[in-house]
Amino acid sequence: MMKNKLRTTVIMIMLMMITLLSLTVYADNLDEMRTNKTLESLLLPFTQISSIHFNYTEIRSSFFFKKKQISQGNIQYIKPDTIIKRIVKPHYKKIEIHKNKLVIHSMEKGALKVDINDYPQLKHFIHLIKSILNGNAHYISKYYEVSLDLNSKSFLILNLIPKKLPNNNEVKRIKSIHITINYDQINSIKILGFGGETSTLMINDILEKTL
Amino acid sequence: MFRKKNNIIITAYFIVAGLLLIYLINSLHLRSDMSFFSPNTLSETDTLIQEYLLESDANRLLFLQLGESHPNNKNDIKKLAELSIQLRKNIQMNPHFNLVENGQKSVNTTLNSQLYRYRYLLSPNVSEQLTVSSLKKQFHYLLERLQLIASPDAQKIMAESPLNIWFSHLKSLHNTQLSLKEDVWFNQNNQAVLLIKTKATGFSIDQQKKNVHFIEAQIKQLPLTNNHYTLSGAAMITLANSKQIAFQIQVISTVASVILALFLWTLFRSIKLLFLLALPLIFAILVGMSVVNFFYGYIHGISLAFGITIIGIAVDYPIHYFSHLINTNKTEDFSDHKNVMLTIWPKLRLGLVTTLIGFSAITFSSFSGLNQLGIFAMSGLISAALITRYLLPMFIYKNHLIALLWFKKFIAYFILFKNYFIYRVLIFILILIAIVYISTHEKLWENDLASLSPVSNELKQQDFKLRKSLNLPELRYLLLVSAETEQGVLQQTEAITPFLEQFIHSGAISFYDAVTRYLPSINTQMERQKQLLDSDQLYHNMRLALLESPFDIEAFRPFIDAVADNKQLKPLRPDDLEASLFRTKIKSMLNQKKGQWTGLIFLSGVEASTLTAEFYHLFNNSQTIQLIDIKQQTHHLVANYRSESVRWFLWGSVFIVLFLFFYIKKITALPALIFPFSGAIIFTLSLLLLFGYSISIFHLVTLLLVVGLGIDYSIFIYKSDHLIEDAQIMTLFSVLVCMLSSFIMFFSLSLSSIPVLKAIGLTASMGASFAFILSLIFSRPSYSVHLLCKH
Repeated sequence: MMKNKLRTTVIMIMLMMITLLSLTVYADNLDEMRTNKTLESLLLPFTQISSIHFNYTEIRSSFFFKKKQISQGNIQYIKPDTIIKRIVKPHYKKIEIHKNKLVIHSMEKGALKVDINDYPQLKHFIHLIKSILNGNAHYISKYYEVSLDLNSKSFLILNLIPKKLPNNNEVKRIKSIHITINYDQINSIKILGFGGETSTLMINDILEKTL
Repeated sequence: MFRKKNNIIITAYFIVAGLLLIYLINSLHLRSDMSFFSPNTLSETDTLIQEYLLESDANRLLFLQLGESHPNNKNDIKKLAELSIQLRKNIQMNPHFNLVENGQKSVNTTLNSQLYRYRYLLSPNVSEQLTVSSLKKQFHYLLERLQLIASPDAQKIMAESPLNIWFSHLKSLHNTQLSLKEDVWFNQNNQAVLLIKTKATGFSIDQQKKNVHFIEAQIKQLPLTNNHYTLSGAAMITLANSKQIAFQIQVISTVASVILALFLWTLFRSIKLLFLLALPLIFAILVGMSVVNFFYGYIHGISLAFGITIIGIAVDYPIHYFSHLINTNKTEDFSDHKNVMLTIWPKLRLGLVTTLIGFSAITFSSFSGLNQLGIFAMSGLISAALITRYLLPMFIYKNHLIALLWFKKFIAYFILFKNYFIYRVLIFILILIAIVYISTHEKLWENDLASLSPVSNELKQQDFKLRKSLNLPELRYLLLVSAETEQGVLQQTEAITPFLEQFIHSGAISFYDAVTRYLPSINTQMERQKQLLDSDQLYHNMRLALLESPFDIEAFRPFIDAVADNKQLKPLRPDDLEASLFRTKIKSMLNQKKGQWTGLIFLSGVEASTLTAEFYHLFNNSQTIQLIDIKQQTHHLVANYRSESVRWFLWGSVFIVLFLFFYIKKITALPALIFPFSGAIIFTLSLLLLFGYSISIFHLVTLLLVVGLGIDYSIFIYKSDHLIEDAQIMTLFSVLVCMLSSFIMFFSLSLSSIPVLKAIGLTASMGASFAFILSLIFSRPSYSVHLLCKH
């Protein structure tokens, strides 16, 4: 009699544990699905853009520098795989990225061609930017913890923290990325490094946009 | 009563066999290296080469390529890189692997190592990079690198080593032709490449088998498309060798044993007999192994293989005995068994003693391999003969020999030869022609053991290509630098470094690995120390270099301190190195023997003709620098071994002739005993050459078996004319059964596609046949045909 009671109790506890476990898993998935969905709807306006050209100002701070480094120039994005960055100040430099090929044009060295695969950090960053502009929520949520801050009615900040995955080297150097978005326009991208470094890229004005 | 006593004795014999087996299981130490072919007193160079072949890193490396191997394949680089990283982690957990490299940088080990502290003494051309213009250039490069946010570890390294001197030096040490994609190595065919170093040497077949199984099991767990991968390296070649040989030996010996068993069963109609026939051979192998292991403390794998081959004659002893039991099979009286044994024992004993005299010659050789072979064969044959003499007559055995009548006609046909003098003259002329043919043959000897290897050239080529692409040493060429001191070797090596660079430029080699790349001599380190700027000078240069740059000079204080530290450090010597893989590597490249120091410089991607020409042009008269072609050196060892074998072979033949002469005391009787084995050797050798084979050490050792068989056949046939008619038939019958048994076993082996097995099989089967035919032809004429034909 006692034995049967004990057995029933154990089975009940186990059933409860299984139910709780499945609920947790479901909740996790639900969370991820919800994030993906929110991210997708957030990135949706960007997917309408086939090309965009804008001016920017970039501010870099690092303990290696005497003071904050400011550079200016313009960036052109042509869907799906072309990004051209022209640094005008302090020294002219043009960086062209097409698929996996990167060409750096500078006054001193001329053109230098490299394979992005050989520069994983750069590759990762380019993938992130492309994913935002292409509305690839899956890639972003695969490698980053995603959260949103609503600062005002028109601005929101997309906060990305690299996930601790075996193949995600970003986790060692990037503390967080904060992207300020105003509907279909990115206003700024701020990157904080674990070593105290920061990089803030601010978009000043749109020169050209094609839908 | 007799039966009870016999059972006790039989049990005692088996207990002895069991004890020997236990001894072997506990104490057997098998060695499988080139020392089998080495003289007991080896030159220093040969010793070094042997140590290198046995212990060097070169034979511990395995190369793994993940993904499809076609040049235009569509391997998913990212996925393969992830798999490579995962696999590296999994394999590293196994303590049987020393190192697993896939191109990933290991920042922590670089930072913590003793070598990192000494980086400005160990790296070349440091002072040139501390000038204002050079500093300016290098800090500009650093600014480019800082476009991307760096990790804290990377920032620490940038502050301590902003000039990238140490990392470019490390990169040059591990310079490869592979490209880094997604942080890991990829070859031109977009396959991920991993380099795995095992703790065990490439020749430790059992451990390497386990290592390979482990790696393959780890790969199977990965989601690798179509499971495409290739694994190569010295161990894979060894395993492929042993796998192929083991498989063919297993198949051939099983088939041959079944045929032999059927053959013997057809003649004797007894399963028990098959077991009894194997007894002397089993005892011979057990005793041979035990004696060699007891005296030497180890046994060469090759001694064992050759030994088992040449004591194959041990099977003949019981065949003679059981064939002669035909006349006594009516009762189970053991006295009959003993009488038969007493009848044939003088012949067995004479054959045994003559064979032992022949084999004893090789025990005087100065080659440990030959010594072991002689001792193995002699102790094995003695025990086989004693087992036949004393143990076999104790077994109850009823002879059911029913094929004898059929055989009588067969034998009579063979005997026809012996009455014709013309046949003997003909044979004699043929022997002379064969001797002339052998002695004038262009490629009589085969010293290249590799040509006898069953491993495909494809596998060897794959190994060569991968070593070249990873700039890893080949197992063939190396340079030896000698001096009286360790520092002397380092200085000499530094002195020839410009020439080594020249070899690279001319394409003679693609890479070299010298100890001074890792650890320069004390002189060089002190010279570098002198040239390093002091803190004030360096600060001054940096201030000027960073004048127009955004960098804050104070951020690079750790760099200035590190240079100052290196300026006052005591230079690093090999003995100062902390225990690490690095120290092991340095130590393995430097050797001391009898007050002489030697340094090894490993070469890869060697273009043999260019290298040889350039090396001898530059270093022809050098006493301290030697170019070693391990293959040539091995050929040299094997050639010496062969010359020694032939010399003692001939001495053995002389001893046999002398012994037989003093034993028979009739010079006219000698041809009947000597021509069969010597003629068989000469005919076998000439036929092998005629078939296009060159004579290797394997042919030569198998000829020792032919000597044994020839002596056995000729003694039995020669002596048979003293016997009564039935016994004469029985003797011939037993010799024929012996010959056919040997023929079945060895001819089967000659059908193998493995050159070594083919060599042994062809030599023994041809030799046994010739020995039998010549024994018949050269037996005494009084042995008449009509006597046999009456039956």
